Amino acid sequence: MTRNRPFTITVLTLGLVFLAAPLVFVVINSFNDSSYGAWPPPGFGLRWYRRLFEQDGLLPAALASLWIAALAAAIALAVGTAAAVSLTRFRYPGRGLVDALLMAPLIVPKVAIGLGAFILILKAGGYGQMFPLVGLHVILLIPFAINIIGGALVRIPRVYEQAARDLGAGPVRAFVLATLPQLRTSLGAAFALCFMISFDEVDATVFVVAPNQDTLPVWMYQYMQQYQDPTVAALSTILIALSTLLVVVLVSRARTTIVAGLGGGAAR
Amino acid sequence: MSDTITAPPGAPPAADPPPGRPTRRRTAEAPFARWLLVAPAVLLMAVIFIGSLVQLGDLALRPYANGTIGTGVTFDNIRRFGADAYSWQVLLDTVVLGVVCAVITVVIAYPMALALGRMTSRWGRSIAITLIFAPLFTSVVVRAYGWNVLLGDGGVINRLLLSLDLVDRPLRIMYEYQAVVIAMVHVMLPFAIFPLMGVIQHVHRDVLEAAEDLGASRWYTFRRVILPLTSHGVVLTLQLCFALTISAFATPALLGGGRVQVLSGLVYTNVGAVDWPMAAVQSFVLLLVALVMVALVNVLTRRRRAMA
Repeated sequence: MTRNRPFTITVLTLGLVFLAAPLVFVVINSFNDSSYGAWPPPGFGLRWYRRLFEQDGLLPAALASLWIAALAAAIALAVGTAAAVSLTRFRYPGRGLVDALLMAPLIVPKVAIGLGAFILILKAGGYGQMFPLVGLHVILLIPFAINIIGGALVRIPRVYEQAARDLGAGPVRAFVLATLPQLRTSLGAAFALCFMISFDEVDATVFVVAPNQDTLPVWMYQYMQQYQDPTVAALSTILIALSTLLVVVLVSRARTTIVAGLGGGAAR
Repeated sequence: MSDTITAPPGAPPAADPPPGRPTRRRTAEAPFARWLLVAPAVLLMAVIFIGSLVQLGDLALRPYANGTIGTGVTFDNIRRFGADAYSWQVLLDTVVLGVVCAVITVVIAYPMALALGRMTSRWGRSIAITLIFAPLFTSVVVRAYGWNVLLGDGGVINRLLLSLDLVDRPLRIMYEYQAVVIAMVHVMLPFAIFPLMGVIQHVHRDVLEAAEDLGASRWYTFRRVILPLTSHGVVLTLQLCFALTISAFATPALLGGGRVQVLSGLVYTNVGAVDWPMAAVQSFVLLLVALVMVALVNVLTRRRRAMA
């Protein structure tokens, strides 16, 4: 291993610098004191944070995103866990087809889903409401939920559940008492990942939102198309701080699960 | 052995039957449970996902004239797409962008995944994985802003190059093809590193030790052992990155500044211009490209598997 030290360190450092660079400069620029975000910053101050609080549509957009992400992640996790149990525990005709259907949103371009959902919502009379957005996000999240939970289910030894069955517990009771507790970390990781994916979703959501109905990323997208000042940087810094906190917790608590789930989820 | 290696990155759990575990009993005694359990997910998917695609199909076949969408069925929109040279050019550009970004991403991600796998320090690993995760949890819009700060005419990189006298006028990166490629690679890198880490970790230690015992150099081992054993994962990761790139819309729009046009951008423009049927046709073309790529990868990997 020692022979590869320089290679390992160089490759990783360069890659990590590339990954971190835009985030680092977003944070630095959010404290820029110049009137249009000149670089290098002539001075540092909090003017863009103050500007942030003067934005009208921002708070509703942030609250909408929080609600949508929380609801969509919860629903995706509930139906995804149930589906994962079925897909990992049973072999039956049609299973491959069901699996393909549930994974399909990973392959179908987001614009196609977004535009189709827009027409569907329009026809169903739900345009401008929040619930259809939750539904759209749920189907985008289901593949990730299934992959993380399915990955964990395959790895969990089933002897405890079988012991519970042998001792007379029904299938549901045995699952809830013996298997579910072992799934706890994975469920937490899956919820966090789904929450963040939904919270950041813009490619499909932008088609579906009504003019007076923004989510946070859509608000940012529209703001950035009009202005280039560091107001978005201030907002981004707050979001980066929050998500870094979440990532640190996740990596320390559920690294293998989430890495495996993301890997499986990503490469299908 | 060959199974664990040729399995897709991260070994898709749903496809793998738990080895050596008695599933027979459960299947026999719970004939409806399996359907009951998948039903909610399948129902949601059928109503929202399939429903959306059906609406899209309906839209694509509606007559469109003078800004109004009529009723009935017509193939006019498909003909309009076929006759529009600009659409074809954008389609070609989109596919090329997808290939370029996918290849660059995997070329960067592979050695990073390899290096991560070789890392022995727990702390270093945790920090590296956190840094790889961090951008994943940061909106692409935020990251587009970050690249703007870095790559703009008066941005960090140009200031640095100018002050070092390496260039005499700012390099034009922002709102050009390069900016879109850089940002797309940044978006996809985490999505590529983790699956590749999965396949690389599946390469058995014994095989590497055998190669070393037989006198293979590190580079030879990599070229003749590790790379072939992980090629399946590499192909799948390429496909994933391609799919993500061709459907990305916010990143090219924000960093391409209208100069870099991709098909998903045309879809958005046409939605704004009320030519929804055209937008629907273009969405389907994009879907078709993604499906062709999946089919291609399936054929490729199946042949590889047959040879193995």
